[in-house]
Amino acid sequence: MSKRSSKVPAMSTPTSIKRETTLEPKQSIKSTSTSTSSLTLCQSVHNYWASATTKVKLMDTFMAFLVVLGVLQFIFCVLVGNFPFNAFLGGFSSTVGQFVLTACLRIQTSPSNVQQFPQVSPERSLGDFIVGSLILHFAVYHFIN
Amino acid sequence: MKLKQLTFSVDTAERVQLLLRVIILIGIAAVAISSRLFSVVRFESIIHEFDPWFNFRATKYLVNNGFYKFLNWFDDRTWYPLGRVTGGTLYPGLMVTSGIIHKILHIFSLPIDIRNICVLLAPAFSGLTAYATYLFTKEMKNEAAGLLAAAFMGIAPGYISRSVAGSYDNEAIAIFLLMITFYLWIKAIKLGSVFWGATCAMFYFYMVAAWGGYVFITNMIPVHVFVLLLMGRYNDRIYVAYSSWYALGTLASMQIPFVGFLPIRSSEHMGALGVFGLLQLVAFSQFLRNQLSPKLFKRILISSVIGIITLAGLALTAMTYAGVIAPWGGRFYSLWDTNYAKVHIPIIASVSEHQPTAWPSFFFDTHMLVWLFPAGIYLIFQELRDEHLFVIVYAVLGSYFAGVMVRLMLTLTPVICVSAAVAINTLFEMYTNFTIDGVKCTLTITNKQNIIEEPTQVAGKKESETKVEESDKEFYLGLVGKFAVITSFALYLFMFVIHCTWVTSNAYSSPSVVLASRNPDGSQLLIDDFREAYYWLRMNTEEDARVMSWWDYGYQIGGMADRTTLVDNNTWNNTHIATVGKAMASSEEKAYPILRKHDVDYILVVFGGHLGYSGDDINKFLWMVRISEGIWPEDIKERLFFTDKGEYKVDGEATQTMRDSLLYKMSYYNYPDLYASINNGAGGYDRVRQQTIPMSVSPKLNVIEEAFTSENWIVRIYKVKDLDNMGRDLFKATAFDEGRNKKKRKASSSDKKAATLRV
Amino acid sequence: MKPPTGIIRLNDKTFEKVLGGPRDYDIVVLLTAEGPQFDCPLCNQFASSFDIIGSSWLKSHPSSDNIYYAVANFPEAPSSFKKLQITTAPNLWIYKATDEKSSDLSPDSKYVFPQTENMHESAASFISQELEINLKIHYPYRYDKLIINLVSVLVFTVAIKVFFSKLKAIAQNRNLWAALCMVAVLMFTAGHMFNVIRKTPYVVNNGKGAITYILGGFSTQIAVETQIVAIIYAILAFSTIGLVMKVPRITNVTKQSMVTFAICGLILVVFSALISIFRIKNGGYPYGLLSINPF
Repeated sequence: MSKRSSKVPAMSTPTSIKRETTLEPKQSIKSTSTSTSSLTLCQSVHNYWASATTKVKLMDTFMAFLVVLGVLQFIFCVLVGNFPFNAFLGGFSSTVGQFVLTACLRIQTSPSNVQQFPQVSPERSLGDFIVGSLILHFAVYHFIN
Repeated sequence: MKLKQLTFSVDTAERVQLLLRVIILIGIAAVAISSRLFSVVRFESIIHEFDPWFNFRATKYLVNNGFYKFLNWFDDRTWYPLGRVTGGTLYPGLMVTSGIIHKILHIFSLPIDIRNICVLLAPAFSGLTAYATYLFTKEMKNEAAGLLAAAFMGIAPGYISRSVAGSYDNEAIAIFLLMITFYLWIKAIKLGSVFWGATCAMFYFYMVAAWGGYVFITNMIPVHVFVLLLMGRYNDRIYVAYSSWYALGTLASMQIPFVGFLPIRSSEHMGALGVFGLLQLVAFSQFLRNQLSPKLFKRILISSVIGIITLAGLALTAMTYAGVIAPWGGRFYSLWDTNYAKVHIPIIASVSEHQPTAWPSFFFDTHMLVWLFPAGIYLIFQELRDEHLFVIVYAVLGSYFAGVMVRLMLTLTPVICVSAAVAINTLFEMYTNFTIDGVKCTLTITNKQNIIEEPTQVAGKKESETKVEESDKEFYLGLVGKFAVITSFALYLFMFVIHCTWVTSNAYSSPSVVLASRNPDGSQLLIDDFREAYYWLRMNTEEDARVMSWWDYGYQIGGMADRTTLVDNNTWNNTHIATVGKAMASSEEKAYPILRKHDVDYILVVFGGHLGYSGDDINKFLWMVRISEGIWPEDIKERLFFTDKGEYKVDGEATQTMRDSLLYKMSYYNYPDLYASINNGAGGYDRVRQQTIPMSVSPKLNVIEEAFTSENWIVRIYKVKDLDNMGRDLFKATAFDEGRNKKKRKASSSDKKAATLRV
Repeated sequence: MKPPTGIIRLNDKTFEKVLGGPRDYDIVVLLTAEGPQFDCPLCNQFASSFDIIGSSWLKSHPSSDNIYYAVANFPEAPSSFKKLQITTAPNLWIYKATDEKSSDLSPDSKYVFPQTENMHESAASFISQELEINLKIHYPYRYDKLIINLVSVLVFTVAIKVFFSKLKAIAQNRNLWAALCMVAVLMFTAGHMFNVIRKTPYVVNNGKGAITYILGGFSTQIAVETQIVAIIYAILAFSTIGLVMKVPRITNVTKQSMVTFAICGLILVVFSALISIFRIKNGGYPYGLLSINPF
């Protein structure tokens, strides 16, 4: 009995939200949904920050930096023009490529993915990362002239 | 002790197997190479066909002038007066490969002529292709299947057709690159390693440098990934393999001048880009799923998916309309909409390589493999690991493309070999097992398949146990059936080998520069008219003479006669080709200004009527007319070349337009006279069209004059007359000359009349 | 009632009156022989094209602007055909406006029927070139097609919604996909795309009243060949699959060897037939198995 009673209020909260969303105009939906999601978002960010190791944090920061850099380059290209198209493309693809390679490294070194990569040890993946980056930057260098 | 001995013996067995495998592979490579040498043995070490002549010429340029000059090569001896930016409009992989081989051999002080390297490059690479096929199939099934696939690949006519000695074409190295790239991709997706992905990207880069067909890889790999995603088989290995391949491969492929920015602009490459983006999103959503609560994750996922799809769709259409992304390239588009090429691009439709494939060519090129192919597909479906999906996607797409275009038979052949090898291997694994527990073996295999089909493992086991017990008792009866299967399939394989040998020696080893035919007594007769004519050009014309011919012969004239041409097999400028077509299809009065404008000194036509060589210019004439009609519809009209009944006639019933056209005149000039004494003066008999050209329509030339006709009349060269010395119209001048001759001849002609009357 | 096509039908009486001149209008005449008694597929094919051309002109020029379209069918105007000494059909002739009376009724220009598929485009371009007009073809809008499409889309979505779980099961059925892939591969390797692109006829007559199933010639084929060859490939492939998948599961050994022999025999016979058929296509091919030739 006690279990049931405890379940009822838990069930009722989402339904009440739903009712609100159906009755109220659009703005309120957004506000409610963002408020609930921001709450959980905060929590999950917090969780993430607490659980991640320094290496992972380093990689993630680097990736975020690359994303920002790529977006900046793209905005620059849209606003100012893409005259030396080689240069823009070289810069942009180097950020994309580096991002992707870093993501690969992060995936491969993550301890939860060990069974997915039976033959790729963390050391090996670091070596792969370096080789890949070298090829990438050689190509970019050649591309820019 | 016992245990040690046992392990040792297993070890030696493995070593022996390895040794055997190496020996067999070397044997396969040797067979693959030697079966491609028929043409060298039959004829001589010579470059074949048309395109190879250009590749050869480019390679010579590369060897003589170095790499950087080669990349900036502006060729002023073709496409007169436009010229061609050759360095920027070719795939340099082939030339660079043979250039490097040449250099290495010279370092080891082996002074081999560049021509011999070019001739033997394709057979050498076919050996490597067999090895790459072995590796690829090994990943699919096992070593034995790999060896079988390598053997099939080594001798399958579908591949030999483009890789005999002397066919120095892009495809010669491209198929090896195709297979090795696919192998590395499978390896990358199996291991999930950046290293393999990067290697795959490097070979992809090599492939892009070598052949325009790289687009096939560019679309195959994304389709494979996309199918995996659709089946819900996403894992991080796929992300690693695809991301590293795409990021590095695309960037590298843009280094090739001819490809340039295509990978981010043309629609053929958009699939790969789209899958790349999709994979990033999927990976990111996986990441979020681990970090966020399920409910929140779902909400974010749905809203972002809808947002991204609408955004991407809008952006794509907007960019295509704005012209940032090029619409589908014509050649590739003709694969999808099969009517497109026929209506819009006659020049593509005119090339026989772009014609659809009738079923006999499939059988001709692969013999029994073509029906083992679907069986192999079915067997592969029974296991269906990630890499097996690749073969299935490859099989369906490859067979579609091969059906649309004869040339793409080449890309289908590897997958036919692989899946046929899987089928034969599975069959032989079961039926050649003569040990007592052979049946057990077969049953465990079938049992495995059971397990995959139905995950009720226990039931499967029970079934197999009962089976083993039952069939163990009456094992020897099954032996007869085994023998029947093995002998019959061995017979078919033997037939396959004989078929391949026959096809290679009869169909694919002709250089097409030198034609072979048989005398009535059966001895071989070589018809060497082309080289005779090209040699004549080289020796008897000024070095900067401009030779006009239909584009098919452009590369050969450039390569063998070393003269400037107007158009050639690189059909980059349709208008220029149409100009040549117009000159050929118009009457002399209209053609002469065109010839003068383009400074044409000689015109070369190919005429097979005397010998029965069907690939001549009169048969290609309709394409010339169509192509020029596409540009000048008011000057050239196709229907005027057909008789009222809609027939294509060259004899007495030929239309006036046909008879007036320059090409007709050049082809049949003086031809009826050749037969004057043979068939009672009825006229010249054209063996290709099987029509007789009567004396009465024998063409007269005014603005050009015959310069050279080869031994069998295949090649005829005409010199364009200069303006008349006395300022006369050339027609009047010719008429005047003829009038003088007539007077002289009158006496003799009256004699003739009397003679005919007597008969 | 058909929609007005703006095409005049001529008979013997009106023929000379219209075409004899003098006249202040141009007229395009189609001389044809429609009807089942005449073996003229081109006539029937072109009749609809001509209707489209006539109605297109009427649509863009409602007052016809002194250009008329007429058709003369042989049964309705036999003596005119005789007078013009027409032995073949169809003919598309153009008579331009003239002040003179012409006695032999010869046209100003004749259209040569090309060997292409979209005849109305080519005929229209010919007419517009000859009469120096801009004849643009309006294809009649197919409202019925629109409705059919809409309804089918609706039905389709509803069906997906209702049978979602079943459809999902079907979509995840491995054997179904295997069958689809195999059918695709078989069709393509048997030259289906050739038929689609070249629009080959299904069967052809061999001139003696019988039907030819296999056309001689290496790079041609007819549609029925694709089916025959695809079926042969399918039999051979499934026999091989049977040897691998099914035979080892037969527990009764006598039955097992019987089945093995039967399949081996089947493969031998069918493969021989295949090679025989191939030898029809490629005359110089020297090898054969058993000489079985069903055709």
